[in-house]
Amino acid sequence: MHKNRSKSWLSLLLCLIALSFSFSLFAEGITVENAKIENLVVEDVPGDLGSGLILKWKPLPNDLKILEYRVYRGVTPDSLFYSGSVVLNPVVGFAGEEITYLDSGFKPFVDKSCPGRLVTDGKVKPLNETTNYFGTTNNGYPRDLEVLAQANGKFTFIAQIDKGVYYSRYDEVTLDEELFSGYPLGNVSILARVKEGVTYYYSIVPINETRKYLTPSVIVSGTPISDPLLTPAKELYSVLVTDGLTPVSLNFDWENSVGSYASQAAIYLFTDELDLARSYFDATEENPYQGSEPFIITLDGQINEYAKYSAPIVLEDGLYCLKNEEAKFVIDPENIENIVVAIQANSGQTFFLNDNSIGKAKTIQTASIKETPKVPTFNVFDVPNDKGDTQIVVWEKPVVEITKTSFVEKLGKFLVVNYDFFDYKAEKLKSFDIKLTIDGQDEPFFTHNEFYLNNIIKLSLPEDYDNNVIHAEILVTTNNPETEPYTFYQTLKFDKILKALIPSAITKEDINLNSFNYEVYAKEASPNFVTVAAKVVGKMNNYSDVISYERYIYESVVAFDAESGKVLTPDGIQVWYDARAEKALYLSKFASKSKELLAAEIENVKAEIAATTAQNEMKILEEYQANLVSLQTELDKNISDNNWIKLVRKYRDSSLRQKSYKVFTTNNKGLFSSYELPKNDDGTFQYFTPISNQFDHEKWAGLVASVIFAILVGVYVNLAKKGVDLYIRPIAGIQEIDNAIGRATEMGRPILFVPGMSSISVVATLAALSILGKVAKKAAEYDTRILVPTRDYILMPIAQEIVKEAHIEAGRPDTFDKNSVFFVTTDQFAYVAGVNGIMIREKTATNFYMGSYFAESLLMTETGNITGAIQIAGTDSVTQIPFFITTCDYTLIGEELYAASAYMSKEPMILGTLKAQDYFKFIILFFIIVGTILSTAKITFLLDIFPQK
Amino acid sequence: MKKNIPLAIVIILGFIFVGWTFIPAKWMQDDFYTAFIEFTKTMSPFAVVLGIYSLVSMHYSRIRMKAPKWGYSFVTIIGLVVTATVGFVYGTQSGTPAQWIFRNMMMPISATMFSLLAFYMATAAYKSFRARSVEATVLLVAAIIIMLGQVPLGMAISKTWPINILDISQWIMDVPNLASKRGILLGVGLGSVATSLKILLGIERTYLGGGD
Repeated sequence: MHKNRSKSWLSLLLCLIALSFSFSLFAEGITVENAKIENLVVEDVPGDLGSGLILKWKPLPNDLKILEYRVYRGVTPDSLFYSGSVVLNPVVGFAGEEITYLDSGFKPFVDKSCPGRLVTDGKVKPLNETTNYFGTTNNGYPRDLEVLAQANGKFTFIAQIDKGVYYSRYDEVTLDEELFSGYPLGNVSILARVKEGVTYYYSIVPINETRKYLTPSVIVSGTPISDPLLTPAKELYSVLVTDGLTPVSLNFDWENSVGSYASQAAIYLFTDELDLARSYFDATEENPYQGSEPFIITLDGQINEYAKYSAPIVLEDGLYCLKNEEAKFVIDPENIENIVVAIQANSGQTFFLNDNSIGKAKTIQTASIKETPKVPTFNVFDVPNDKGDTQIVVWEKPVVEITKTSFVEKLGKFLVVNYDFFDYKAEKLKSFDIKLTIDGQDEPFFTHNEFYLNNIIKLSLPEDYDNNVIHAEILVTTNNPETEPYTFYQTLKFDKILKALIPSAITKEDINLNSFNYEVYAKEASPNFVTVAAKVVGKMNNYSDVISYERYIYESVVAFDAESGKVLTPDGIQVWYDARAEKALYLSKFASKSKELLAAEIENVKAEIAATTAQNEMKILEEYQANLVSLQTELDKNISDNNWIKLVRKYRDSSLRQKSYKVFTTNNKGLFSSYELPKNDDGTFQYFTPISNQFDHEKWAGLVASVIFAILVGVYVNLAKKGVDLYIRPIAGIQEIDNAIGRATEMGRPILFVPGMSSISVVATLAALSILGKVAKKAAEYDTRILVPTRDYILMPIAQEIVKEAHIEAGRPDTFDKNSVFFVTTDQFAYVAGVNGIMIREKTATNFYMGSYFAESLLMTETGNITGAIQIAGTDSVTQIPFFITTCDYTLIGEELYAASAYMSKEPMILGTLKAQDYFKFIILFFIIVGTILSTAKITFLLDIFPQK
Repeated sequence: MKKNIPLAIVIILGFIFVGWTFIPAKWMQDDFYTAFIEFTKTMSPFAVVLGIYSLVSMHYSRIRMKAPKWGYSFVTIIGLVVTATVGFVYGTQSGTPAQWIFRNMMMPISATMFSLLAFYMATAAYKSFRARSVEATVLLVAAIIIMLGQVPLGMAISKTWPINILDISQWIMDVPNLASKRGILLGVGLGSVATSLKILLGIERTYLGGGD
């Protein structure tokens, strides 16, 4: 009965398998052979300047295990070049309905990794014979100017030129009577972006996980259109700032929309109803505006960048009003709610505020001048001990903040307080005193001076503490003796859900530091160029501005010129920026043309001087003119183009990395104040350039220690040379080396020496090689074979030489076998497998493991243990020492590895260094003990001498 | 001569790199260092050839001499030739045979080797924790506390005991363990500096190999 039931189950299973097989035979599924990409569309990227296209297509079934969709693009449908890909994980596949590929922005086009000639992608089987697919695995266009010339004008190109190439590898090329600098294609990388109005043709080629190319999609075209996104400001806040009852200014603060190409043109003030005010923007000559004319405040580009403006209010004829050259607008503080405020974008269209903003802007807020965040006076410092690419803008003193607390309730009530501090190299936090007082009590229950800033304070809470509010008072002392100690306040409130005391925002001088932000604006080496450098919260006190050295220069590519064999870029170059005159000097990369341009510039400046009446301005312009004339003198010497560009490079290096700054403090809702550094005596901006430092002053302690150590080595080497007996403490592992080699000799089995897992550049490997020399010599003397498997192929020939030399020194060059020192593999575990195999096959009697080791150490030593070999290990890898101690007979711990070769050689020179090392340890020990005592007594000068991580 | 020229190169470059440590200036950190690193990269291809030559030479001689278990050498050479050939012919990107070999052969074998570590650790722990002496007993007790501190059982025990085993475990890690670790690291640091100094001053020359 039971047997029959099993048979019936088996029959049913076989039937099901047969059924599913027959289904699979008749089903018309999508296979690799017939798979086709459907619904490929190419659309313009909306809201851009015609610089992008977006491709969309339906993904193939995940069963096909598609690895990559390769995108081919061309400016004609018959020649398509590989331009990028969408890579998938074939195991997971693609879950969505549609795959998108964005062909937007500058993407790599041609570089030195591209093939030198046009390569047909032979794996693609075109749908029709007239279409060619070109490219290799990662590249489309070749480094062939004749091919590239066909793309002239079809893309927007820029060349990424290495600094060294930029200043030396160009030639003068004239095309259509215009001068260009021509760079060799092999020396530059070209980036390209699609261009407005040009039609591009696309085809997608899927590749499956075995890299089989499937049928390409049909070719679909698309054309980028310039349709910039012109969105007006998202928010507008307006605040009437008053000093008592007197209006002082009307402040405007708005938020520019991200991604919008529109900047704000003007602010309008109306006294009409909102709907009537709105119709002002739609008014025409036939249908003129019916309300009262608005007061218009025009905004320039710089104000747009700041997104805030303060209009002063003046008192005239007993009325408070805003004034400009053409009109005035009366502000009635009593009826301020009657004024409507609007902002207009400069796109040629008018944009009133959106509905949400109107609600906020309609009512102008009123605020006292006392509520205005304080003026952020700041200073700019060069960051010390760096290569000269960073400077720091500092506007506040170091800040200390309690960030987190947690209770520990074992053997009493304890509180762990985590704090953070924000300081900077120019003024460091020295220490702080913290007082914690329970709400309602007068005396603090905890006072503490935190002089070692480890971000944590542990304290015990009073016995009667019952989750009351705690007030924290933090008195900060900095390392600047001129700075008076100052105080921060925070409140810790118990949170029932988190079961912790949650710190409040920091207050200083009754100001909540979270209620405002700082905005830093940088003015670069250009006359009218201001960019936002940072927007940071109120507790931050500085901003580090990284001003990188020029490494690559990006230039627009005018054409690929097959005739001259060059990539043509404009010959113009910015030679310098005169920060005093606020003028950028643009000349040519070629001396002769620069001469002409410079003469014209000098004439311009002369005319400007003649038209100037202000003495200061005239003086600055005259100085600028003098600089130009001095440059002209150089050019008049008929210097070569080569020498001219060297001169230009010098000027550019020194003048293009300077910056000036402006800082705002703002609540982002209409209250703000700003500060610019005081101008120079002649009214020019203060500019700053980071300085490249020649010595790292934080490393004085390291340098002095190294020198002392070197002196000690010298002294003890000399003593050793003179024959002074230097006692070296015995190290068991080293003393046993001889016995271990002797054991191998007696047993007639080889010795295995593993020189670690690291490369020759690691000091532990060098120490291991020193030991190898001694062991190999001893082995050669005893005529015992030594096997040295290496993981690093650079190490292998060095180890071979060492073993060979050891045999020669032992007088047994004939016994040296080159194949006994060999390379195994660089892979960690494959190497272990190889070494373990050697131990088992060769039955090595003695195993040495010297150098650096990682996770594989135990795998090797346990195998050695199983084979019964005597094992001696030596490593500086702290995490592996326990494994070696457990499984090896002797282990050289840490420094003993370095001492081993000296110990074995007994050479006075080397023994001297060992002795010096011991005495230097005494010095370190002295500083540790004295430092601990002084630090416990809160004397930190010794602590400050040494660098801290 | 064979030793003196390399020794001179080592000493000169050694002192330059001492300078590199203390001089943050651009000419040293960017201009010199970048150029030097580029230069060192050129060494690698030559050494790869030497490495492959050594591997092939050793295993070839084992095969030729029919050394014990020479079949393994044969497998090694076949593996080298096959992997190199498919890499050169089909490339090494995803989907190529080289990647297949890596994913389906190399990775599982490496993972197997690594997983053996767990068992070796267990045997090593057994050897160490046998309470044969006072020191071994101390080690055993410390190990038990640390282990309990790492697992949920430790936390559960701590709730019922007056002493928090997690805190003791953390204390052992933070105080005696860290102190001894730092002691070793201090020695390692000094030894490392001493070895570097010996090389820099030409006292230690073993790494130069033989010849005059």
